[in-house]
Amino acid sequence: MITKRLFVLIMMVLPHILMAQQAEVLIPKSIGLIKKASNKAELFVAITLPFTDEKLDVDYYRDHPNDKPLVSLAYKGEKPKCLPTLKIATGANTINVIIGNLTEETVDRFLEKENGLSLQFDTDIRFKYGSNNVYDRYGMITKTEANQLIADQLAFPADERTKFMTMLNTMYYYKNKVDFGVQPAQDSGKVSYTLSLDFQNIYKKSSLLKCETDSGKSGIKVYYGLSSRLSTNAKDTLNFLKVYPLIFHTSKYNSAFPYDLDLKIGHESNQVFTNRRVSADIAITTLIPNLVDLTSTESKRLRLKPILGLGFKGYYDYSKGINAFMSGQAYLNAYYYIPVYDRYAIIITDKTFYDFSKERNPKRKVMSTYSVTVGTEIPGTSFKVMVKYEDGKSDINYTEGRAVVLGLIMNLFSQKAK
Amino acid sequence: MPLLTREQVKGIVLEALTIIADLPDDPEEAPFDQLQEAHKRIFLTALADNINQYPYPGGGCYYDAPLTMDSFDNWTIVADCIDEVFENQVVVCE
Repeated sequence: MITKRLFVLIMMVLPHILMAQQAEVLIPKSIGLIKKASNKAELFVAITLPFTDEKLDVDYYRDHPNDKPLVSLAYKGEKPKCLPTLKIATGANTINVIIGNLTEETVDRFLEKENGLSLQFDTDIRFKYGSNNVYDRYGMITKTEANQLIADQLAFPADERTKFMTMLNTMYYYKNKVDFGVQPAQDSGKVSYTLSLDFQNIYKKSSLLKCETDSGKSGIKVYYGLSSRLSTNAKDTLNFLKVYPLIFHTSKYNSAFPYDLDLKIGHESNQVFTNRRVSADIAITTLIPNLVDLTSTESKRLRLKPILGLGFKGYYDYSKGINAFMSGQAYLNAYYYIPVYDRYAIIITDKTFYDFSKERNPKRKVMSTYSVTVGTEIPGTSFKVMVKYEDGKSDINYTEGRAVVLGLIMNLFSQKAK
Repeated sequence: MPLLTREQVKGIVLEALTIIADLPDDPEEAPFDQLQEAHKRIFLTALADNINQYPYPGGGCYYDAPLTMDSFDNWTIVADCIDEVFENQVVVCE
């Protein structure tokens, strides 16, 4: 009986003894910190192996779990309030430690010298690799080598932390953009210049990361924001200025009905503040199916689905020269980019609204303001030459406005690196 | 050899892309530069979910790829997105 058990034990241990003898000790090519901010927020510590044509056997840790390297998080000072998770992942030529369950504290302390958190390998990194789908070689990086690499070459400086938090922020809420335009003279008027601006930012960046054990923490994030269309012609009826000190935002993208849900509380006015109100505005935004196809059969362009928002706004109107009153508006927002053949495009934006007040909407009419932009791209640049026609009644001053704007659309916050 | 082939990655990317757009016959060559933030967020979440949920042969592991909203800066056309996921995919065995 004892002999049988001894035999089984030897058979279990033997492969590891043989592997330890056969494993080639390799010196890593490099180490890097890669950010993930999509369906999860994670940091990948990636150790790249000095391979040319070889690739790792990515099944190895499933088939030999005892050879999976052990890693831990060492910390100086206080124990982190929320402990991160550590997982080992294998790429074609990388061994990765995925650090998950991140909080703002973990991000702030990771790899810091003072009160910092650092990653360490507690065992050697053993792996199997080969070429042409034949995995017949064993390799190893000693834990001493790996830990020295982490100490010497892995860094997470302040600007990279900020960049990571910004990546998370853009995953939830990001509408920052600036558009400039020139409005040609109408009749005997002067040429005017317009500036359209949208800007939002989060109050508390810690709300972008949530400890998995902190089940009571809400998924709602709080922002502040500014939206405006300003012109050198201050009396232009299409001008507006909207300031929102409080924007509550939540979203769900991984469902059959992906949406953003926003509640905005703030102040809305025209540029000269003669029309003004305090407002609370709730809206849901989603995508709807395409309505037209103006591309050719040879076209290689994506036909992006229109973005549709439905909302309701309650407001207290205290405009100049009227008795203040409270009322509300139901509205629909739409944005539709329509590719036309290979190089042209039409962009339609619309806000259709119904105001419930007898002061602002005595005829009980549905009103709208819309713009149609026809443009073409300048090849090799991020600029788009366009002619923009705006028409309709502004939802702030309820005055009919019409404008043709010539100019460049330039999305300063999301330009592609060329 | 259970790392995803480029053809499998292409299928995953296009499945996520159909949530936000109708695709041309040759979607790999389609420019990736007119997406609004809402399109990007929905596509990126769907893509990351699709990668994680793609069945791993034999089970016990799942696929992953580190993507962010900044990844769009590297993608001039859809093929760039497919290539990035293909080259940076990892396997996590639990």
